[in-house]
Amino acid sequence: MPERLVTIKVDGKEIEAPEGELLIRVLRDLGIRVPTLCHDERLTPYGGCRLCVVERKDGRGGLLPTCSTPVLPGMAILTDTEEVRESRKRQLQLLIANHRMECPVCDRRGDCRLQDLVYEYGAPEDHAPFEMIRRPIVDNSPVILRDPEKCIVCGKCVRLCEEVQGVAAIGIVNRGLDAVVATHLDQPLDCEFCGQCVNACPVGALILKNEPSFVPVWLREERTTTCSYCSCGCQITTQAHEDNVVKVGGDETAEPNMGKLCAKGWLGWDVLGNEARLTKPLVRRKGKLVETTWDEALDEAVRLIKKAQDTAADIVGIGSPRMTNGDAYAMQRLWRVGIGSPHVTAGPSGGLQAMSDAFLTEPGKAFGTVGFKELRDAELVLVLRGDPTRTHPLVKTELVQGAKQRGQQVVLAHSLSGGLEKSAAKHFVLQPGGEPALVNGLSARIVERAPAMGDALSSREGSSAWLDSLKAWTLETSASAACLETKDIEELADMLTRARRVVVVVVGALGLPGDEIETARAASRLVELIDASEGRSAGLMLLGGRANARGVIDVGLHHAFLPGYRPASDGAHRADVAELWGSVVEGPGHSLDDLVDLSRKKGIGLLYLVGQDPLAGWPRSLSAEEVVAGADSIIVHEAFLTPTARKADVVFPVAILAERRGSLIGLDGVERTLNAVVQPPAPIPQDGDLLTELARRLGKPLPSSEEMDAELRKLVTFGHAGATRAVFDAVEAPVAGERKNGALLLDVSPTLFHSGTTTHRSRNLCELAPLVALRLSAEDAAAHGVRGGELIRVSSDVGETLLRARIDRTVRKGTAVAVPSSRRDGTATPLERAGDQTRIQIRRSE
Amino acid sequence: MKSADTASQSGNLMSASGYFGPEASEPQGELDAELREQIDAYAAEHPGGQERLIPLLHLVQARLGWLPVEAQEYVADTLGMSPIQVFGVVSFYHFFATSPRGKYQIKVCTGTACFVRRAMDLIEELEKQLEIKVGEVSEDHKFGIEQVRCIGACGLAPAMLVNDQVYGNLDKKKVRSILRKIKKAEAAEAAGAEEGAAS
Repeated sequence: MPERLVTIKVDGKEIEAPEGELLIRVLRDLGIRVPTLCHDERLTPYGGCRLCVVERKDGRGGLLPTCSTPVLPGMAILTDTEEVRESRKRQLQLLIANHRMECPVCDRRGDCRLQDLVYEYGAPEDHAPFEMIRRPIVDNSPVILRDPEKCIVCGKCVRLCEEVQGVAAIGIVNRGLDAVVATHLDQPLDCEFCGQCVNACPVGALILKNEPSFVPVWLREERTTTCSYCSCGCQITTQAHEDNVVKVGGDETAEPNMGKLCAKGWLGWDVLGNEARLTKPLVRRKGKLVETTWDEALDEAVRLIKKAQDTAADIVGIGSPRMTNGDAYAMQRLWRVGIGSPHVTAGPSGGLQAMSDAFLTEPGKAFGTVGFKELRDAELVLVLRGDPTRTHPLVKTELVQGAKQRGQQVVLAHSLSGGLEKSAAKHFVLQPGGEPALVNGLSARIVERAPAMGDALSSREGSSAWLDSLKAWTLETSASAACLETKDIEELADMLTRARRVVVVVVGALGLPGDEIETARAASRLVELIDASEGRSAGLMLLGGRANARGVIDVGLHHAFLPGYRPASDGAHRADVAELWGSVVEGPGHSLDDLVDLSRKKGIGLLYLVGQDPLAGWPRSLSAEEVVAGADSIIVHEAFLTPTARKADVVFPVAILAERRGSLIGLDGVERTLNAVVQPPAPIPQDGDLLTELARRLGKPLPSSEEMDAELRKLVTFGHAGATRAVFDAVEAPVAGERKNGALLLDVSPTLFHSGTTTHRSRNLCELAPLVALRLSAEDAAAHGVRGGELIRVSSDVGETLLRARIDRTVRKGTAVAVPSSRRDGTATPLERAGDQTRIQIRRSE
Repeated sequence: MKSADTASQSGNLMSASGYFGPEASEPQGELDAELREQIDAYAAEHPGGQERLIPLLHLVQARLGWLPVEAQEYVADTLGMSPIQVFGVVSFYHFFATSPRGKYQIKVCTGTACFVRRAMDLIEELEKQLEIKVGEVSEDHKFGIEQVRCIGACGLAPAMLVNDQVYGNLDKKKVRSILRKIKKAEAAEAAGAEEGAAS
C-alpha cells in the first residue's frame, strides 16, 4: 500500500510524514525523545500511561498521546512545552504514589524505566491524596515472581501474552486503584514461560526468581549472540557476571525476533553450568572409561583412525545439525580429503531429508526459500505437519501477531497438538501423515478451477505429468484420501484461491508422524502453482529441526552432497571442489539408513560421532543399538556422558550452545553469528578446533579457519531465495484413508520445553516440564477416569510403561504427548513402533 | 452470609497441585445444559469474535442473577478467550456479579440527586433490618443490598430498585414497610408451597 506523505508541523518546523503513521514513530525518527512506559512497538497502540503526550497547536488544542495518534494532514504539535512537562510529571507522581519505592534494594535498580523518568522529570513535591495499597508478593508459580506493589499496570505483560504469545495466561482484573495483573482464580501461571512479560516489564513488578538480585545491572556484562536451541535464529542478549549468565533477554528492535524469546532461549542456559559437564577427555582402558590428558586422548583417536584405515574398514563420521558452519565444513573436509572416507553426514534432524531429497537446489548455492519478511507479508499461511509452538517458537509468535494484529489467515493442517489453534483461523485435524493427500487435493482443486494456472507451469520439467496425475484427485477422492469432508477441501481451496500472498510452512522435527519428503514435495508444487499465476505470490518455508539443520547441508555435511549441494557422485562437481581442496574422495557415502545393514554385513570400522547420541536421540527406524554395537571403535564429542558416550573408546568434552563461535544458517536462510558469550566450565575446545588438531596429528592438516571460511564462501552462495525449486513428476492416485478413532495417538515430537537430550539437563526446563509424564487433554483424562498427577499404565502393541499423567490444555483431544528422546535413557520403555504412528491405551494404575 | 468475592472464586477451585493448571479435571461443573444451549445458540446466531462477550455475560446474568466461574469459563471457551480475559471484563463492570444475588436484590441509587436526598439513610435502614452489609446476600439468599449509580429516577429521589420494581420518594419508614410486604408475600408463598407439597 503506497503511503501518502503529508505535511505536519513539529516544534515550528514543517516536515513530511506518512499519513496514518503513529505520531510517536515520526517523532522518534526525528530524534525527539518521547518518554513511554506502556508503549511497545510489537504491540497494537494502547495509550495507557499518558507519558508520550505532546501539545496540539492546530486550533484544536489539548494534549495528544503520540503512541496512539495517527498523523493527519495539517497537524501542528509542540513536543517540549511547560504544559507537556507538567503533565508528564503529574502522571509520574500518580504512578509512584501507588508504587513501593524501595529503589536502592530493588532488583531492577539502575535498570528501571520509572526510575529513569522520575529522575528526568523530578520527584513529587506533594503527596497524592491516597495511601499506597498494600498487596503481598505473588510467589505461587515456577520461575516468575509478581510484586503487585511495584506494578504500574501498564499492561505490557498482559498484552504481550495475548497479542504476541497467543496465550493470555494473565489479565488485568478490577479497575482504578484496585486494578491488578492476575491469573485465572489466582492459580499458578499456566503458560509457555517465554519470559516476554518479565523482559518487557518497565519496573520491578515481574522478576525472574533465580536471577541473583545482588548483582546490579551495572556489574553485568551484556553480549549478544544467536540462540542455538532451534533454527529460528533468535538474537539473545546475555547478562553475565563473573562468567555466569544471570539473565537472558533480547533487543526489541533486532531482527529476526524483536526481543522475543521462548522458554529454552530464556531459561535453558543453566545447562552450561551443569556439574555433570565433562571437562576432561576420557579413554577406554581395560574396558573402563578413565580421565586422561588431551595429548593421550588425541593420540588414541589417531591410533583408532589409522587402525581402521589399515584394515580398510569404513570410517563413518556423523556430525550434528547443531554444529556451526565452520565446524561442519571442517569435518566433512577432513573426511573427504584427510581421512579419505566419503562416509560423513549429519545426524537425523527434521527437515534434512526433505532438503536433500524433496527439492532441487542449484549447485553452488545454499538451500533457498522464503524468510520472515514473506511470512509476515503473507495473507494466508498454511502450516503443515506440526505446531511451530513446540518446535519453532519464533515462527509461532509471528503467526500469532499476524493473526491478531494484521488479520493474517493462519490455517493449520496436522494431526498433533500445540497452542496455535487458539489464534488460527482454521485447524484441519488430519490423520497422522495425511498432509500430502490434503495438499495434492488442494493443487488439483486449484487447477480444476483455473486451468490457466496449470498452463503457467508448462515450462517446468515434469509439470505436465504432474498435472495429468492430478486428474485422479477429484474432490471426493481427495477428501476421502485426506479423511476430511469435501466442504473442508473446498473451503481451504477457496481460501488459497482468494489470497494474493501465500506462504506454506512445513514443520520439520524428529517424531512428527508422516513423510516429510512427500509433504515437502507436495507443498513445493502447490506453492509454485500459485506463484506462477499472474499477480500472486507464494513461498515455502521448511523449518529445520535443529539450530543449523540448513547450514550443515549447505556446507556439505551430507553423505550425498559436497558443499553447495554439489552431488558427491558427480565427477565434474568433484573436480570443481578438488581445485580448492587438492583431492576429493568419490561419493556418495553411507546414509544413516545404510548403517544398520553395514553393521550387520561388513561392520563399521570407526564410528566418529560429533554431538550425536544415537542410543538416546535417534528414531527407532535407524536401529541405533545395532549400529553402535556393530562399530569396532567409537569416538564421540560430547558435553555430557550420554548413553552412547558410555560405550565409546574416546570421549572428547566440547563447548556447546552459547560457548561457541562461528555462524549458523537460520530457517530463513540468513547467516547469523555465534559469539562465544559464555566461557565453558573448563578450557575445552569446540568441535572444529578439535578436528583441526586431530587432522594435524594425522599428518593431514586442515587449512586455517580463515582459509577454510574463504573456501566455503567460494563454494557456497548463501541467502539465495529461489535457489531451491520444486521437482515435478506424477503423483500417485489417491488412496482412501481411514479415520482411526478410539485409542490415543502417541505424540513424541518435540515439546516446547524439551527439544532433545540437552534440555533434559536444564533444571529450569525440567521444573517447567518433567520428563516422565504423559500429557493428556482434560476430556481424554476424564473419559479414562484419570486425574492429573496419577500414575497411569500406558500400553501400545510394542510394550507397556508407567507414566505420570498431566492435564495440559494445549493437548488436543485424541492425542497424548510424551517428552521425546527420554525413552532410551531408562526413564521410559519404548512405546513406539519404528517409523509408524503409534496408538496407545491408557488406564489408571492400581 | 457470603462476601462478594470469595463465593464464586473458591467454590469450584480445582485442586491446583501442579503448575499446569487444573490437574483434576472435574467435568464442567454446575452449569446447566439449558444455559449451555442458550450460550451456544447465541454464539451460533451471532457469528463474530470477542465483541460478543458482554451480550453473552448479560445473557448468563439474566438467567442466573450472577456469573459463576463455570459460566465465565464456558463463555471464554465459546469465544476462544482465556478465562482471565473474561474475568477482567466481569470485574471491571459493577453490573456483573460474581456471587449469587438475593431473590430480592435491592439496588439503592446513590446518584447525585438521591444522595443529597439522604439515600445513605435507606442503606443504613436496610442494613439494620436485613442484618447484612452492602454487597452481601442474606444467608437464606432472599435479600441482597447493592449501592448503584444513577438509575435515572431522579424525580423520585431517593429511589431504589427491588429487582426490576422502582420505589421512589423513600425514607426509613417506607423502606421498613416495603420489606414487611415482601416478607409477608414470601411467607404466604412458602405456606402455599408446603400445602401444595402436602396435598
